[in-house]
Amino acid sequence: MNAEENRLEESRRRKVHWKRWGPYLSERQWGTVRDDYSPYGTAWEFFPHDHAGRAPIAGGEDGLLGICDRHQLVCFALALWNGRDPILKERLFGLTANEGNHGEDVKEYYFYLDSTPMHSYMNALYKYPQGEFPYSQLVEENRRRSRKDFEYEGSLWIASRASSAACSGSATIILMSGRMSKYLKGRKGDVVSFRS
Amino acid sequence: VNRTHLVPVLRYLLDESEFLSPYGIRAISRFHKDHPYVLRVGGTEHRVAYEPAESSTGLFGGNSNWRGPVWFPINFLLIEALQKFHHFYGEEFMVELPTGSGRQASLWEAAAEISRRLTRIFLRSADGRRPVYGGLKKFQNDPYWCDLIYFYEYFHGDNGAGIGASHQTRWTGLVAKLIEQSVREV
Repeated sequence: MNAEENRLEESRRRKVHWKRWGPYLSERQWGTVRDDYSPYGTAWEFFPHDHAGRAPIAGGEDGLLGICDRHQLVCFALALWNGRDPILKERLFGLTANEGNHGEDVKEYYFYLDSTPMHSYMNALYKYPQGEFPYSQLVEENRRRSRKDFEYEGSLWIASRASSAACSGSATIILMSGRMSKYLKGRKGDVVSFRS
Repeated sequence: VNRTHLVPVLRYLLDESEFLSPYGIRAISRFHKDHPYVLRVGGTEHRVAYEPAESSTGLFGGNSNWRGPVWFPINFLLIEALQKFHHFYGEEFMVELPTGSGRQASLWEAAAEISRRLTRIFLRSADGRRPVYGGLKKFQNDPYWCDLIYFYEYFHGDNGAGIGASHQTRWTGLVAKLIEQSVREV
């Protein structure tokens, strides 16, 4: 039995709570029915990505390549900044159903590369452009395209000169929610920085 | 279906000009590309044609197209069904694979062939390109991108290019199961 099979067995026999922590944090909570308080059930328009950094999310938490406990009381996620964007990269960007020819869709490049069953080891890659992230370009180009065209995923930014390298060796963890402050003595929006 | 029905059903399923694409079973036969299925109900004409790529309608949020592309959940169920039929009918039950080729194969081999075609979506072909990334040059050529694989929601019914959500890991991840099984056979 290898080390990971040992952990599986320990988890099965409830000796060690290996599954308490995992990549259970949503990639996004914007544009979901869980946060739809619109009068006509227009969930996508009611809570687009643009609101997610400013308004509290009621139905859950989200974050970039995040991990949390199985009750989602404590959430950790990456926040990146290339020094150019008007906002931090805290969650995946995307369009709502009626903003693009492909409907509701995330417009980011990220890859889950490896994981053990117990999440004792995980490896993921997020590609963040060193130039400005083309937020408005993605919105405008997708609005222009018809259903007969292919969707626009921002191939322009991955084709551009300086952007193929993933950015940033340092990572910042943001306190994600009020619920979390119980554990970490902070308020929502407080920044706890450390070097990764 | 019983044996009487299974034979003609598989004749369409394994026909490359109908359901059998180079990258799995299509959601609708390619026959309907030039011959849309038309149904008249109460004076209204409804029609459905083979559409291998993006959805042409806003149904289901406009980002699902079950009218032509290759979808993993259905393909996986078809593979399992063929394996069960093989278990019941055995090696003697042969079908033409693909239809019109004159080559006879057992149902197990037919299931394995569909599995191979699905797996081929992600593998580099002879020209060094991965069908899943179609015309995306960055993913085809850039050494920092070319080995990063997305598990798309569904795939182009003619060329295998990935379409829809790029992280439909749940069911497109079934390709891992297909690979595991094919390796065991070897």
